[in-house]
Amino acid sequence: ATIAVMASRQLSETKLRRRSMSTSYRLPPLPWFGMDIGGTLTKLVYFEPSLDNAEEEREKVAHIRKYLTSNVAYGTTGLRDVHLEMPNVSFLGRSGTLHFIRFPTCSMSIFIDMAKDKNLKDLADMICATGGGAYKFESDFQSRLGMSLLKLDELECLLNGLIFLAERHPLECYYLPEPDPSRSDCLRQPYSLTRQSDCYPFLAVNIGSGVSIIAVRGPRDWNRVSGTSLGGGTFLGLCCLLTGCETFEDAIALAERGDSNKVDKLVMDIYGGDYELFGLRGDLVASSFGHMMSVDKRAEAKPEDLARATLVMLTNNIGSIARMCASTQGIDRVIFTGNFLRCNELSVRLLAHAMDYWSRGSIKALFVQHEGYLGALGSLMELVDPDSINNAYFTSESAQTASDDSQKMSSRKE
Amino acid sequence: NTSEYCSSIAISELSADVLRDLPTAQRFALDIGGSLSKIVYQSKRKWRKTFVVYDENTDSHLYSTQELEKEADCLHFIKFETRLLENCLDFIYDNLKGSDGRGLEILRNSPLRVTGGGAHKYRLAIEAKLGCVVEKEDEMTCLVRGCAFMLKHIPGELFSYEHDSSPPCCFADELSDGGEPFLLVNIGSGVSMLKVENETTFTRIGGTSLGGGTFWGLGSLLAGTSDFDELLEIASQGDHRNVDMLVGDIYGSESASSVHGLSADIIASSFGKASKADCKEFSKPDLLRSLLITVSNNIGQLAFLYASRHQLRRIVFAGFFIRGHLLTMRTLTYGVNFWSQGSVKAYFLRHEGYLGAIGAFVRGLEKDRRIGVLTGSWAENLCTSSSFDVGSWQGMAALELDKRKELTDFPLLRDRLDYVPDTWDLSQSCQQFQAAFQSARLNPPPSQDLSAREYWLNCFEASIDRHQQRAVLSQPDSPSATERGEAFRLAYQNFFKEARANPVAFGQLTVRRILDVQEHCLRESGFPDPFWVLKREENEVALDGLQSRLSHLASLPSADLPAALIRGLLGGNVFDWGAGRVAELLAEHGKQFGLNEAMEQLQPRPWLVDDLDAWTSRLKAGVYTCAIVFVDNSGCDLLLGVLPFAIDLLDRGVKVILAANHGPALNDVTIFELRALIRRVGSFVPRVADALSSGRLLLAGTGSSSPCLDLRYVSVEVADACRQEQVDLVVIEGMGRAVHTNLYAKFSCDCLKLAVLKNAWLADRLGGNLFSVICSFEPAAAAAVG
Repeated sequence: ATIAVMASRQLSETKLRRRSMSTSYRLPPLPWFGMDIGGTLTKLVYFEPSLDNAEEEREKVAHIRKYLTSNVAYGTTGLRDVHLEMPNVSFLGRSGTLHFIRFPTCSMSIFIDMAKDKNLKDLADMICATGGGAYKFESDFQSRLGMSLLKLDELECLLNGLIFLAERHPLECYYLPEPDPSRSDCLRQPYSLTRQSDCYPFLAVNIGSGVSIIAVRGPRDWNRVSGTSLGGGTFLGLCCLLTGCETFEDAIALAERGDSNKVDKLVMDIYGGDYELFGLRGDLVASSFGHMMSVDKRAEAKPEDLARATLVMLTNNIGSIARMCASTQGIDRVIFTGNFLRCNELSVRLLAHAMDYWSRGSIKALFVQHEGYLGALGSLMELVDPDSINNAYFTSESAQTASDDSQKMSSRKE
Repeated sequence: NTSEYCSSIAISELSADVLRDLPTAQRFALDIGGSLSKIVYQSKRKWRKTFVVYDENTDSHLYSTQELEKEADCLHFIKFETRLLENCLDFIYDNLKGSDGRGLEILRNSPLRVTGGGAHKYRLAIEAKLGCVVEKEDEMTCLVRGCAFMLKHIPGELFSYEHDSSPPCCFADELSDGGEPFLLVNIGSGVSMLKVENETTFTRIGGTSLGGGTFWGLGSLLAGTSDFDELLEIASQGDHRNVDMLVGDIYGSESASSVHGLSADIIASSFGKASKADCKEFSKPDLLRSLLITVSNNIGQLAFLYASRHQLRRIVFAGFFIRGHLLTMRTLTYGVNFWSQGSVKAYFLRHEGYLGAIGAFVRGLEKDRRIGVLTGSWAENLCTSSSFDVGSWQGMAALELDKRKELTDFPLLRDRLDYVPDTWDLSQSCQQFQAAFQSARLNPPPSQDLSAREYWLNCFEASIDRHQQRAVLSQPDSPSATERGEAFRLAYQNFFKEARANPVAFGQLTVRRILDVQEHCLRESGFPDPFWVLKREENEVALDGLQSRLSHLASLPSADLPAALIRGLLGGNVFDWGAGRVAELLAEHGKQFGLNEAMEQLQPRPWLVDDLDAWTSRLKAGVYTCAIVFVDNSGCDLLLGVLPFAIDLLDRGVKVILAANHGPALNDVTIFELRALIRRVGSFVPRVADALSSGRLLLAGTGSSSPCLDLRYVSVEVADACRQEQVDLVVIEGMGRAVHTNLYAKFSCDCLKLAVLKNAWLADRLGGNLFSVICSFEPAAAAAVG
């Protein structure tokens, strides 16, 4: 295993050199996609090249471009996040626009039909994909579309995407100087995180359906230190069960209006005030959902309150695990990513506040604008490396740490 | 209202048993939880006890025995549903008032200590009802105190969940010495993580709001019922994989294992499938199981994170959430093992539910400066405590602890932490003992030795009638003896029933444990010493033969003496009424069966373990200062076997401590009988009288009343004597003390273990035959190497 790891690290360095040498090798054929197939959502990053150099665009490529860029919704479930669109990006020596598209993973079959319909396979025979779904759907892509998936390591893609964005997009990374869960107008302060700055080490906490926690010490020096199955999927699942809502957006909207104190048992509910012996304030949550064994309290709790309590419980728990990992690793910056934080200002505030409160200001919580698309972007970046076709990460150690969640810690853990 | 009616019935039914000593209650403490509450109270219980009366002027008998009632302290633990708190208080009030009002007076003398989440809520109600002052005690402090108390006094309190074992718990005493700090995780409504350094020093290093209240509250929402135990019951029927998103769901089940070597069953996202619009129908069992696993896994992970952050290698889980529920313990253990890769170990406590109550009780004594009440040791009453049922919340329904003499570690054990008293774990596999057997030069037993349990349970159960008979006969003047004999039989039979169904009903099942249960059931039925007549008879017969035995030994050439003494001692050890085969022989031949006949039964040399030559040459080297001899049976064993051996040691200038049980057990000699006997011997053997008066021969009580010997619990008297007299030789005699227990105990000084295998099965298991001999001489130096 050690030899394989060494090889993959050398490969990565070669790859980086090639990128900086611009177009000294043949570019992959258009269109350029990167995909991240998660447990709940599939994320697609599409690079739309500018056509100002009078280049001849193949008809089928143009067809796809027009379809993607002229719509914001695809089928019944696909959506383009217009607010995240990045124009004037230079990528592989070309300038163009990055588009960010998502659809539920359970609609993968529809996506494949659409790709077939648009004759995607005539343009390329391979798609760069990461996430567990790259494995799960590989044979579907092969049999129904005649395309192969280049399966890429999830966490490496995530980190590559993160650094790529942080370097090109000055407002990508931000923090809340005064996090207050009750105020929706918290100031967002940009945070400079680039390869040149001393951005290492940091802890990346990716909240998708589940949560992965990665300690990052250098450009290719990282390991998965922990994770939890209590993630975005838990939030949505519980909210659907408890409130009957059907979408993530509805669940968040409910949570924004709710009062978790109707549901949770606070320290003061048990001790009549602060738990002075241990310095625990009376208004802290002692037991999530701790009031709900009472029939009367259940009758009083509204769906909003339940959604809010679910959100508070999960963000506190993720914050708690992240904080323990950060302090065990001696790291004082934690970057939260993942689609759980998409359009989820409330969770950002809750996480920022929890980190600040429980670490007594010693650990900084950072967030990114393109929270859910880092992996897909990272996989797009792999498109450039022709070697990668033969050198995917099957054999590397990092591949063994690549699943979504709850798996063995990397042996590199210190 | 029906439920109220049922409640008071429940309380009064309870009263017959666990609340029977309320009228003599001295002191209470209460732990009021969200669903369950616990009371601990201390009472004075009256026991029949045997006293040896020694009168040199009577010549009819060596000594006489009187049975008297004696008061002893007892701690009672009861749990009940918090919704019945008021009924329970009424019941207590009535009982205390009924006992001529003195009970109430005592109660009102000092504040009632109350802990738990309900301490705040019910304070005024309690004060109004009982007319006493309620003082709230901090929950965590009580928990830590209670944990220390249980670990100190109850052997086998601690266990780990081992999924591959059956039953899935393994008992350990690793924390009992209070050495290394550990993490105590209290899972109540919320979770607190405490770093415990010793019984009074601890820090809260963290916690989480995802605790028992989360399972209870969320579970109530999902299932529409608020009964905690019902929720657990429903959860145990479900399959979380229908609700949780697994690694296999994301990667495809084949990729997960073939590409990543991961189990496809690992949970990637708890409740991750519950949001899928296409499958809205989830069963309650599936949802609750997923919830239980979510909460337990998360606590296990956080506990690991806190433990590793603070370099703690042991985690003890406590709190109402656990209540012996298998799935909960399994998931907590899994979480700790998964994240720590086995470097941190998870433990649970048999009486976890009572930690808060006993902690509050102890705190009360400290504050009232009455800590003297606690000095001494408290032993689990195996007859009145109800069994611990893993996998059922009802496990640990009642607990009673009897005050005993203060007990402590035997100071000459080489490694207290390595010491395991019992040779066979009848609860499950004997694997852990393989190495120990080899070091004792015996054939290791098969690794999965379930037949051992079956054999010993049958063997002891078959002896019930014999013991019942003897017990009744021991009290010819008591009209109630027959009835109490029947009560003994029922109680003891009940134990066998439970032990067959659940081998860990009383902690680890061992031969020692079974014998303890037998003694407890006899004592509880008012038979403190069924063998007293027989013992006296045997002692008198043996005493008659002592002079001629000593003369015979004196006539031997001195070179042959050590071997003759050992043979005599082993011959004497054949006289064991606890062994079925021997009891038959003795009944058959009566007084015709003497020491010589017994010695003829012994296996010819070389013995099964034969260190006679090594021992002889070591003895002749004259290196010893003082020997302690743990004696076994009355009669021939003590007087014709052990005593000549001891006299020889005295002749060689070696001091001797004869250590005998404090309480009666089978036909084992007690310290009180021993004193009477040795004084009588002194009257015609001047050497013995001299040694006794000059302090070269000491008689000590071990603090035990068992035919076995647990060297973690010996009297302070014995421990102090060993230190003061600089004991450098330990002699352990008999099957109970040297084979069933201590077979591979290692000492920091020389040790001689002597036993005759009077049980065919046991002999066979150790690779010998009936009446095979173990004469194991273990020099201190070799012990240090091995």
